[in-house]
Amino acid sequence: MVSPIIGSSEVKPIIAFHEVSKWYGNVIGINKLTLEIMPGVCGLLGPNGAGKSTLLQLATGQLRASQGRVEVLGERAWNNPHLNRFIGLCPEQDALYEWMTGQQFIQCCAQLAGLNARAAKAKADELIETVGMTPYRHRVVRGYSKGMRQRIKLAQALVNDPKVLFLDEPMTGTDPVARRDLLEIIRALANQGKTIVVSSHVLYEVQTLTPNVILMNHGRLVAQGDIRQIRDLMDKHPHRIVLVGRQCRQLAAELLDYPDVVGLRLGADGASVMLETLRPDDFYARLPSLATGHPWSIDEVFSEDDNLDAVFHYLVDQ
Amino acid sequence: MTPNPVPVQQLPAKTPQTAGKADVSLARSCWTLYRLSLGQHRHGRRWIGTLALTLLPMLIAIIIRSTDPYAAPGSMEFGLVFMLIPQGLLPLLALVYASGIIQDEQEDQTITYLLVRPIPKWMMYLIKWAAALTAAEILAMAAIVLTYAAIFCGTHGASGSFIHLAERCLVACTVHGLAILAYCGIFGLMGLVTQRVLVIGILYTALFEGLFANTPFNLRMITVIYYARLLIYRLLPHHAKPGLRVHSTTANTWKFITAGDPNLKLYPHNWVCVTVLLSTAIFTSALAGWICSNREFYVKTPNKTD
Repeated sequence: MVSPIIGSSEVKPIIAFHEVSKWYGNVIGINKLTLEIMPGVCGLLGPNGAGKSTLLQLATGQLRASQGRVEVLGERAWNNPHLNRFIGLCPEQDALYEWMTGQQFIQCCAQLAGLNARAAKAKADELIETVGMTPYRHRVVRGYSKGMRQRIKLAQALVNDPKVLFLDEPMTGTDPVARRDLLEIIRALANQGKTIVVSSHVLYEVQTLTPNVILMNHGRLVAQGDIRQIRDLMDKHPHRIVLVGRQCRQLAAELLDYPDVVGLRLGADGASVMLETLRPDDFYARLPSLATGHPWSIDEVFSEDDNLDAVFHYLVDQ
Repeated sequence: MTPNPVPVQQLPAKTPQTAGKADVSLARSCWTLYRLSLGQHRHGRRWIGTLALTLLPMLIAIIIRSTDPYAAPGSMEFGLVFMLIPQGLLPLLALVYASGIIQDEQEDQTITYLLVRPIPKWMMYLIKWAAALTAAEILAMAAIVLTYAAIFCGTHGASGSFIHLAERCLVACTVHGLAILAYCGIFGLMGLVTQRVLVIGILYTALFEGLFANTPFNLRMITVIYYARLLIYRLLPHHAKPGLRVHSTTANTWKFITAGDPNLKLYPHNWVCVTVLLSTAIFTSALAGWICSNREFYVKTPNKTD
């Protein structure tokens, strides 16, 4: 059965949650959530434990709603393998078939999606090039860096040329270069007309992709709409960013000179530095240049969600 | 290691091959999943363990023959091929491969890549079950053939012609193959309904297949090994000849009452035995497939619970 939305030019919600609740035993993952996601890019924001991954797992049919109805492209999401022909998921967990090469993994995923061997190889070649992994395609996945793994995970989500793409924290733990590249890839996919839902606990990652965001906390919808209104609230709170790499002491010394960095703490092991900034946009824009051509290296970037959490508390209290 | 700074390419325009959905086929998805699952069995430390298990009966036979040149091949065949393999090796192989059909993917967190493909979950289970069965069967067959070779190689026809021994080996492979089919069904189902499948599986093997099967009561009719033994007893001729010492040893060991019933006519017929073993495999795997299609598979997300 093909939904009337698939192939239709009429603008309807691509993803719809109607009074959806999801419990894990006594723990509530999603609490009476009603929302509609229209075509385009949508950011799904919330601190850890907000219910973002649960929402994505419900939308991709991996979980069954305890209550309510989840529809994607007009079809029931749960237990609907037909729908999987039209959706792609880049999962959050850092798991791959470790013994395979990048090429084999993508090819295997393409064949799992139903492509024949020749088409799967062509698709794998195309996607590996798209995510900038061509020089490393024949390397075993086990030896990939975090950024490479994220790229490969993104590539596997595209093997069936999905209409709807779910990206669960796609930038987590990546270095600045990979982060920039992944954002570019996602933007390019959005320009192709795909509906993309990107979850993140970092507002500044999402805002470069879309002004359209959904804010969640404790399994509830806190706000939905334009990111700028949320930004205004967030800028009152310092934003914490953790940089992981080598020679972090020198990196910290350099960061002290930046006027927008209002706080700095070197990790106990000397392999990380946590900074606080009131102008995260400026800092993120500077990250790629900060990561190259210096004696230090930045291997991973994490954004702590304290300020986002604070805003959620503020919004919930309103 | 830092990721490569290769510039991101402009996404290519859709080609008919990639844009169309008509090129996809469920059969290809299933075949790929089968090959992927078989490939998974070839990797990891488990492979070393199961290989060691497979070679164990053969090694025991070699050790016995090298330490006791007069060891009777018939006794060794009984002890290794008809006791050790069906009671120890087959359930363990089935347990190792079938119990992790879904659990392994969950633990490795790779199940997501399967759940978002257009393969129904019940079918996913059955395909992975078939792959587990294939792996277990291959190793079991290898164990039987190697053990026969270790027992009879160089006996210069004293135990029968090569053809005769090959026939015995073939019958043993067939009966044990049926047993492992049933075991895979049981342990596959167990792997879906319990988290501690290895512990429970070993307890099952020891209690059910070990203890109950060796009692002279009808309780043994709920064991797999009982039906395999009946088939072996009847189908492998020199064990079925009444009056031979090895025959009475076999009957005594397996608690078959042969007085007045040397061919076990009062016991379930061969076709019943085959039907029970096949039905066990079909019923348990169908039930597991049904459970699977209604089951949610939780995958831990890193450092959090959402």
